[in-house]
Amino acid sequence: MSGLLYLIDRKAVLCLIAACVTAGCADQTAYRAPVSTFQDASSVMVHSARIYLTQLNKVERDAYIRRQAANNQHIRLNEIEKKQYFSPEEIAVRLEALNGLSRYGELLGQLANSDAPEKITAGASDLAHSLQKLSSDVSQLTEKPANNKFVNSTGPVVQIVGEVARIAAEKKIQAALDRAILAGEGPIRDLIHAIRDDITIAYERKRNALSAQRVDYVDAYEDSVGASGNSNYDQRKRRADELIAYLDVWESFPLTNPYEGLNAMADAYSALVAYAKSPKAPTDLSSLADQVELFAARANRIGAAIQQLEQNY
Amino acid sequence: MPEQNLSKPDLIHIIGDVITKIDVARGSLPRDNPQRKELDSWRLRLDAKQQILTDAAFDEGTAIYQSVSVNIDGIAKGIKKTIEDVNKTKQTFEDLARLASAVDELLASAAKAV
Repeated sequence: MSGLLYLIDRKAVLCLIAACVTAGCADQTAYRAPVSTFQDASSVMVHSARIYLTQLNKVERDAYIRRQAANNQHIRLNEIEKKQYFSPEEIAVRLEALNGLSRYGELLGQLANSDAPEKITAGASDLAHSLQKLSSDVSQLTEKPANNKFVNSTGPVVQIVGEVARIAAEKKIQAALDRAILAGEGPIRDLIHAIRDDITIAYERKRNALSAQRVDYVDAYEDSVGASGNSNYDQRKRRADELIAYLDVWESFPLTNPYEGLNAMADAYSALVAYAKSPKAPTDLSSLADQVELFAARANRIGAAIQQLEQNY
Repeated sequence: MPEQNLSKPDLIHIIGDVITKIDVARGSLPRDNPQRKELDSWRLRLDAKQQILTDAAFDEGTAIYQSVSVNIDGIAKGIKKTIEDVNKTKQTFEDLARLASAVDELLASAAKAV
């Protein structure tokens, strides 16, 4: 994770763009820096989103157990099972989709950076194959209405990536790149938004659980108040320190919200499309770079906050 | 947070905001305080409703969805204004009951839509 954060070096990207514009590079070369930045920022966002999805059931499970303990109630395993928001299969399919988005970003990067069409073709075909499996797996989720948005948004993405792979197979790198970006905007945005909504819900459930724990920590401190003596002071001080540490976690938690990062990811895709449609003048490239940089900055901030939360809590 | 066309994640966020406010209020009272016990109870109920909401699917373009979601937003804003005022406890609990009913109404519309 930390490696990913350092990959996105703003100065290096701007220098590359400036050098490219000055030298009058070909279209394919002009894409390189922003697509590379997009790819790196996507990896950070996907990693962050992955944490939310994989932690979601743990959040619900832990919250139930803490609630029962706080209220002096029995704990039942069947009740814990009922608290699971996503089944393991539903989580796995979303992680597959996230992986597909990440690899799609990688494909864009390869198209922009590589002079070896065979390598691109193999990578794109492999991705198309993976997404076909995703399409099949997603079709198993249709019984649950809450999955509808996610299910409906994956099909078009599978279709587009397959098409890009076919064009790339004909060694038409620039055409494949333009097709990937032009055809990909709407469906990719829809898929990002569907995943964003699922992750936003995961974020809210986690916020809910963390908020409840604030009260648990305050109650624990309150239980230590009133008694005299050094041993009770030690206990009170320990409870106070725990409360301080926990409130630090609570205060920094909003920084981990992936909502804006995923919106910025969708906007960056749109900027890639806008650039592909443009005459590709230096100002067009500059606009693209600005949008991608904004996405990278948000992705880095969220990634760092999640990393910090993982270390401290 | 938009005033209109609230999405399901928006509504879950709105309910989450109320829950975090309830936590502040109940974390300011002793556990054996009657008001604290009532707040604890409302917290459990809203938490359960938020969880059920995560599993529901809505047609967000329908008039009933838009009407009820705007109502939920309005009630939630009212609760956030009164919950820390000890002189408005009665109104807060009445609004919490209204909020729970509105969420139930929304969930009923989801069941019909599916």
